[in-house]
Amino acid sequence: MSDLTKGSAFFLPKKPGERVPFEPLLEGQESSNATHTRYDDYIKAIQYLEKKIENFLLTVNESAISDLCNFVKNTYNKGENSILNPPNRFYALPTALVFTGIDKEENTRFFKCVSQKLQQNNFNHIVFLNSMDCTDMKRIEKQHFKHILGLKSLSKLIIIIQDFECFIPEVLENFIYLCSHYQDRIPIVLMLGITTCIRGIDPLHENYSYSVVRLLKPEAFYLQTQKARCDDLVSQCLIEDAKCMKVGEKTYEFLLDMFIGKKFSLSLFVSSLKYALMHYFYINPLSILTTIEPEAIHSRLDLLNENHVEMIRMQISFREYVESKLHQPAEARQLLCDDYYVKSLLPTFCQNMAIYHQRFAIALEFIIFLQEFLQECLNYDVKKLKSKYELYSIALKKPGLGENEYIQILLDDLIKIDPKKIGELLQIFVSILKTMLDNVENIKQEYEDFYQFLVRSKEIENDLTRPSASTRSAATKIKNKESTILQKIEKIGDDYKQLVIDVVNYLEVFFDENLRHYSTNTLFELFYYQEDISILECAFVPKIRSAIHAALGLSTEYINCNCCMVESDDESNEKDDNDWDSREQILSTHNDTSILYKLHLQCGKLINVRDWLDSFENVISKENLENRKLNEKEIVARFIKGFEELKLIGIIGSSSRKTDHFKRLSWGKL
Amino acid sequence: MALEPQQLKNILFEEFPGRTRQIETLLNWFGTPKEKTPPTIFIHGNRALGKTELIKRLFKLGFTSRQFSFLDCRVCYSIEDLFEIILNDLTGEQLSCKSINDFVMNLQEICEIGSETRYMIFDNADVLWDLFSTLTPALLTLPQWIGLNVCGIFISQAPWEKFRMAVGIPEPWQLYFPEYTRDELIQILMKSCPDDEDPCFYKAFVENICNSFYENCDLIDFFRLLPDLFDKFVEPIQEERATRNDISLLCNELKSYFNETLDKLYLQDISAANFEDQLPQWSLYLLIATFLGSYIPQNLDQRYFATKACEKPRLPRVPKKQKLSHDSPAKLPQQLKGPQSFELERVLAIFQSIYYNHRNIQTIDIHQQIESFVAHHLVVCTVPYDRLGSREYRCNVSYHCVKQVSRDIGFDLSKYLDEFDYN
Amino acid sequence: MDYEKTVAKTRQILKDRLTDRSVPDELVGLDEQYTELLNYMNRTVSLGESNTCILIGPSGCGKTALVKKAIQSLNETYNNDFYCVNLNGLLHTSDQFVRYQIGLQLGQQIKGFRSDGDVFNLLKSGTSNTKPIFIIIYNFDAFAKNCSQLFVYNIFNIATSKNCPISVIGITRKANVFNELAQNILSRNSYCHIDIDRPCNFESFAEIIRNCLMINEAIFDDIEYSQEFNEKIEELFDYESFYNLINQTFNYSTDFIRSFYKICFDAVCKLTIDSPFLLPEDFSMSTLQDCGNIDTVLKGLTQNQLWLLLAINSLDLRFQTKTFNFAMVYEEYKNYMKSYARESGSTYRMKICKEHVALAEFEFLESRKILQCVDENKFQQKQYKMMRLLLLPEQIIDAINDNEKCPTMMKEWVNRVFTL
Repeated sequence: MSDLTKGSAFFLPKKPGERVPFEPLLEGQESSNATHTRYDDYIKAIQYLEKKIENFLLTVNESAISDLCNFVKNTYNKGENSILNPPNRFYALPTALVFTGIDKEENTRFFKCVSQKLQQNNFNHIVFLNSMDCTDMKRIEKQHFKHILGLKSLSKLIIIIQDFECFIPEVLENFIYLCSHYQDRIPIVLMLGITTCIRGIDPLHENYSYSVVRLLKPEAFYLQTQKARCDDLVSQCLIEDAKCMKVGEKTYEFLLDMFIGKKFSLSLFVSSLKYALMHYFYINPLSILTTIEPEAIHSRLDLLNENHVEMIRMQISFREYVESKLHQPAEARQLLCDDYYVKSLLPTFCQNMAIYHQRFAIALEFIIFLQEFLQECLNYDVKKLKSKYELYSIALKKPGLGENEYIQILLDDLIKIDPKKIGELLQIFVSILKTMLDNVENIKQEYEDFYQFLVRSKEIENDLTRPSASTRSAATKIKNKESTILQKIEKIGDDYKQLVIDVVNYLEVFFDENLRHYSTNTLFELFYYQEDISILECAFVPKIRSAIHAALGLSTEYINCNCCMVESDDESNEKDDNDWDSREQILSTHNDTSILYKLHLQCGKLINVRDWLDSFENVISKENLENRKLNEKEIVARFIKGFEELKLIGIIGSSSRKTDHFKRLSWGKL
Repeated sequence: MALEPQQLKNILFEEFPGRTRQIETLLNWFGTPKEKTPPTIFIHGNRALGKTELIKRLFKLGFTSRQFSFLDCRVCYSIEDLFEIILNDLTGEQLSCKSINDFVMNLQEICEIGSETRYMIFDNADVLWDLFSTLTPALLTLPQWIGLNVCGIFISQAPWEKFRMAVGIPEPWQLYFPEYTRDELIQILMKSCPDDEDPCFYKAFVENICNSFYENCDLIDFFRLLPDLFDKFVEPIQEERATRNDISLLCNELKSYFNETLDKLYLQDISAANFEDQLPQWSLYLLIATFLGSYIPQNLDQRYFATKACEKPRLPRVPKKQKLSHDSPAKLPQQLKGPQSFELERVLAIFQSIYYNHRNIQTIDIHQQIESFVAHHLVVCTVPYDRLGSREYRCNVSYHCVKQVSRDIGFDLSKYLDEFDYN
Repeated sequence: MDYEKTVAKTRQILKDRLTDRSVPDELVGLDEQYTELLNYMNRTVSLGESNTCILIGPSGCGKTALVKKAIQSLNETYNNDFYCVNLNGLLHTSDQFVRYQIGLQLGQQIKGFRSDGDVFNLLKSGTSNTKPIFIIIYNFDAFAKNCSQLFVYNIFNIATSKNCPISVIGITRKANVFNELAQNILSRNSYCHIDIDRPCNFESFAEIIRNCLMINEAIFDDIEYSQEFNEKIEELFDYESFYNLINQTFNYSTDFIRSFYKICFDAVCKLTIDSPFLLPEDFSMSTLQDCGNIDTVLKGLTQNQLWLLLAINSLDLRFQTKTFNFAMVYEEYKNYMKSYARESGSTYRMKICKEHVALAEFEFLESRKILQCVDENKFQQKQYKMMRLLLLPEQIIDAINDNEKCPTMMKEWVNRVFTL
C-alpha cells in the first residue's frame, strides 16, 4: 500500500511556480530552497538522461541504416532494365533480410529511420506492411497495391515488413509472388525485418515453399548485437559521465536484467533507470550535491543545514574517514562537531569522486583494448572475452574490478606475447590518453609515462634495424659481425622483455589504483543509488499471481469492510493467537469467489465439483439462517459465477481425466 | 502493332529453342484473326518450360491489346477482380462485374463489336479451384457455351485429369510442353552469354554446368546459378593461373564450388550468427523445453525429466527391430510425425528440469514469453483462443535450429533425443 | 484472290463444325431418338402440353446436336412461335443466376425478379393459348446439384401444371442422374427420358467423319473447287493410313468423335491456297499424343522425384499409411539407400540426395498435383505437412519399370519391400 502512495507522488503534474511535487525531507527540516533545488536537479538529470538515450538511439544503428540505403540504391542498376528479355526474365526480387532484435519498439524506430533516410535520397515510395493488417491477400491488395499500381513515375517501391515471422506463411508467399509478378513494371525492393534468427531464417527453409523462396535474392544485414548495444548503453549512461548518479550493484543487475538478462527491452531499461533516478532524488536530501559542477558547488553548500551535515556524518564512508583521522584528534573532533569544517571539505570529496570516475572510465577502456589486443596475439576464444557491461558488473561488486583475478590473467597473458608487438598496444594507450588530456585532469602523468614506454619500444625497434643496414658495407668481417648481431639481437630481445615486464608492472599498479571499488571513496553514498531493488521490482516486475492470491485469500484486509471485521475486533486482546485463525476462517460475508478460493485451498490436486458446491452451500447458508431460506437455484448460480471467475483467472482448469473434477492450477502460498 | 505471321513465327523460333512444335501448333490453331479457334485450349507441362513466357510473348507480338487478356490467377484474389481484369483488358474500360452472369453478358457485347477472336488466358489455372468452387467448370464451359469467337487458354502444371472434376466440361484442345533435352537446354542457356564473351568459351562452361546439374535444376535454377558460377569459372584466368584454353582445368576447379553453389541455391547459406544474442538465455531454454515437449512422448517424461530423487536406474535400451507383419503394420517412429501438442504445465515442468536457474524466472514471465513465441510463430497454439482453461501448444521450430541454439548456450540436446537419429 | 477467299471460307466452315459451333447437317444413327424428341416438343407447341424430358448420353454422342436440330425444325414448322430458354448447369450455378437468365431470355426486365415467386408467376401466368416455352438445361446434373432443391422442384412443378405450355428438357452425361434427384422432384418428372449412345459401329463413325468434312457444294460459287474438295474427302477413305487412323481412334479413344474432330481440326488449319485440299498426310495422331496426361507427367519426373515416390510406396506397404509427410518419406528413402549399400556390400558411398534438395522436389510433386496436402495447419513446417498420393501404386511401379534411365537399385525397390 505504501508503495502505491509513494508512486503517485512522483507523478504529480508539475506546473511552473507551483509547489514542487517533492516533499521536504529530513523530517521536514529541509529548507524549501533545498527541496526546490533538489527537484530542479532531478528534472535536469532526467532531461540529460533522455538526451543521452536519444543520442544512443541515433548512433546505435547508423551504419546499418546507411548499409540498407546503399543496398536499395544499388538494386536494379546493372543493365537490369532488360528484365523483359528472355535471358534475364528470372531476375529475383532484391530482398534485404534485416536481423533486428526482439524489441518491437526499437525495431519500429529503426525502420522509421530507414524509411526517412530512403525518402530523402530520391523518389522512393515506401510501404509498411504489418502482420496484423495482413491476414489475407485481399486486404493487402486493397490497402496497398491498388493505388501504388496507379502511380506512374515511381523510382523504386520499397516494401518494409517489420515482423516477418509474425506473418502467416501462406499469405506472405502469395505476396512475394505478387511482388515478383509486378516486378517487370515496378522495381520492387523487399525489406524483411527478422526479429529472431530462429524464426527468421528457419521459416524460409521450413515454412515457405522453395518455388517462392527462389523468387527472392536475399542479402543479410545485421544490426548491432544486443551485447554490443548493451555495452554502448551502459557506458553512455553509467560509466562515461563523471557527474551523474551511478547505481549500485543490485540496481545495476536489475537494469541489466531488463536489457539483456530476462527481457530484451530498452524501454524497460530506460524506465527503470529513470525511476531509480527519480527515487534517488526523491528520498535523498544530499542529492543536491550529486550532479552539480565543482565550480558551482559553493552555492549548494549554503543550502545545507545542520540536518544535512548530520546526515553526512552518518554515512559509513564518512565514519571510516573520521576513523582514519583518529590519530589527529583535533581534526577528528572538527569533523564531528564543526559543521562548517565538514562543509568546507565537501568540494574536495566531490572533486575526488569525479576524478575517480574519469580515471575509472579510462582504465576500463584500457582493459577493453587490452582484451582485444590479447585476443589477436594469442588467439583467444571470442567467447572468453568479457564485454564492457560484464566488466562493469564486476567492478561494482566488492572488492572491485582491480582486484579481480580476470585482470591478473590478462596481465599474465600479456607477458606471454611476442614482445615486438608491445609497441602497438602502447600506441593505443597513448592515443586514448591523448584524447582525454583536455577533459581529464591529473592524467598527464600517465600520459607521459606511457609515452616514455612507447619511445623506448621505438628505440629498441630502431636498434634492431640499424645493424642489418650496416652489414652490407663490411663484407670482410662477416663472421665477426654475425656474432655481434646475434649478441645484439639477444640484447634487444632482453630489452623487449624488460619493457614488457615494466609495462605489465606499471599497468598492474595503474589498474589497482583506478579500478578499485567505488566504496573506497569517501562520501560515495552521494553518488551511488544503492536502494533495495524491491522498489524497482514493484514497479517493473509486478507479482501478479501473489497479488491475486492475496486478494482472494485476504479479502478482508484488502477491502477493509466492516462486515467481516466484527469478530476479530471483539477479541483484540488475543489478537496474536487468533489472527491466523481469523485469516483462515471462511465467513459467509466474504465474496463468493473468495469463499470458493478458500475452499479450494483445502483440496488436493483434483476438486470434485459436487463436494465443492456442497461446502459452498454450507458456508453461505449460514448467512441467511434467520432471514430466508436460500433458493437452490441462487446457490448454483452464485457458485457458477465464482467458479467461472476462478477459471478465468487461472486458479482452476478443467481436467480431461474426470469429467466431474477440476484441476487446481496454482499452488501459491501467501 | 501485330506482326506478320511468318515474322512472328521466326522471332518465336529464335527466342524459344526447343519449342518449335508448340509454336507451330498454337499458330495453326489461332489461324487468321477472324477464324474460329478451339473454344478452350489447355496448356500443360512442368515448371520453367516456357509455357507462360511463350504465350505472353506470342500475344504481345502477334496480337493487339484489346484482343486478349492475360491473367495470372495467382495474383487474383477474388472472383470480381478476375472478371473485371479480363473485361478491362478486352475493352480498356473499367467495368464493374459481380458475377459470372454479368461477365457472360459483357463478353457477348464485346464479341458483337468485331468478329476477331478474343482470347482469355489464365495462367496458373489450377489456382482457380481455390477461388470459387464452381468457377473453373464455368470458365471451361463458357467459350463453347456462348458460341462466339472466344478462346479460353488455361495454363497449368497439373494435368487435365485434375480439371475434369465436374461432369460435362467440354474437352479442351490440349498442348503439352515436354521437358527440354540437354541440347535445347544448352541452347537456351547460351542466351545468358555476356555480350563481350566468346560464345565458344561460354558454351564450354554451360555444357559443363549442364552435365552436373541437369538432374537437379530447372531453368530458373540454372539462371540463378550461372552468373556466380561463371565468375568462379573465369577466376583462375583473372588470377593468371590459367588461360582461356585450359577448359578442363577450369572445369575441374569449378567442381569444388558445386556443393556450395547448390546450398546457396536453396538459401542454405544464410544463417544466424549467434542465437544467444537473439533472446534472453532463459527463453532459449524455454524454447528448447517446448521442442522437447513436442517431440518426446509424454510417457518418457519420467525417464528424462524426473528429478534426481525419484530417478530410477536407466535400463539399457533394447533396440527394437521393426518387422513387417501383415496383421499389424509396423509403427512409425514418433518424431517423424512431427511436433505433437503439449500442455503448458508439461513444458513448465520440462523447463524446470533443464534450466538450472529456473527459480529466478517468474511464471508470469514464462507465460508472457510463450505468448510472444506464439506471436512470432515459434510456438503454435493448437487450441482455439476461447478455450482458456487448457491451452495446448506445439513447437514450430526445426530440429536443425534447436540443435544450433543448444550448441550456442551449451545445452546437451542429444541426452534427451537419443531416438532422434536423423540429422 | 477469289480462290484464296474460297479456301478461307472452307476453312472457316469446317472449323465452325469441328469446334461445335455449328450443327451438322445430318445426324447419323440418331433417327429414332430424333423422332421421339421432336414428337415431344411438337406436342408442346401444337397441343399446348407441358412436359419434361431428359436426354442422357455420353459426351460426343450428339445430345446437343439433337436438341438444336429439333429446335431448328420446329422453328421452320411454326415460324418461331415459341420461346426457348437455354440454361447451363455449369454456368448458371445458383437460383439467382438461373432466375436472371430466364427473365433475360424471355425478354423481361431483370429488376422485377426479386424472388422465385416472380419468375414462377411469370411462367405460370400464361394459359394454354400463350406462346409455349422450352427450357433447355444443359449439364442438368450440375444444375440439380448447384441450385436449391426447392427451385428445381418448382421448375418441374410448373412443367406439370396445366397453365402455360412449358417443356423442360434436361441434358446430361450422367446415366444415374435420376438417383441423385430428390423424391419430390422425381414425382414431378414425367419420367420421360431418351437414351442416346455413341455410334456403335465403325461404319457410322466413318459416316459421321465424312459428313463433317464434306462441304455443301451449293453455298460455294466455285463449284469446281468444292466438288474437287469433296472428291478428295471421299478419296481419303481409300487411303490405308487414314483408315487406320479412324480405326485407331474408334478403338482406343473413349470420346472418339471429339478426338477425331481434333485430328481433323489440325488438318483443316493447314488448308491454304498452296494446299487447298485435305490430304491424308495432314491427319496425324500426334495431336492427341500432345495431351499431357498423368503418364506423360510421370515419364518426365526426375530421378529424385521417382525416389521419393518409391519411398511413399514403400511407406504404404510397410506401415499401411495413406498419409505421410516429407520427414517420413525422406527417412524411408535414406534407410533404403543405407540398407542397399549394406546388403550389396559395396564400399562405394551412396550418393544420397540432400534433404533440402529432396524437399524442393517434394514440393514440385505437390505443385504438379501428384501429391495433395491434407494438412489444415497453417503453420506446420514443410517437412511435417501431411500429404496424400494422388496416384495408384501401380502407376509408380509402371513409371519406374518403363523408365530406362532408372538404376537397378531403384528397380529393385519396386519389387520388394525392404526390412530394416
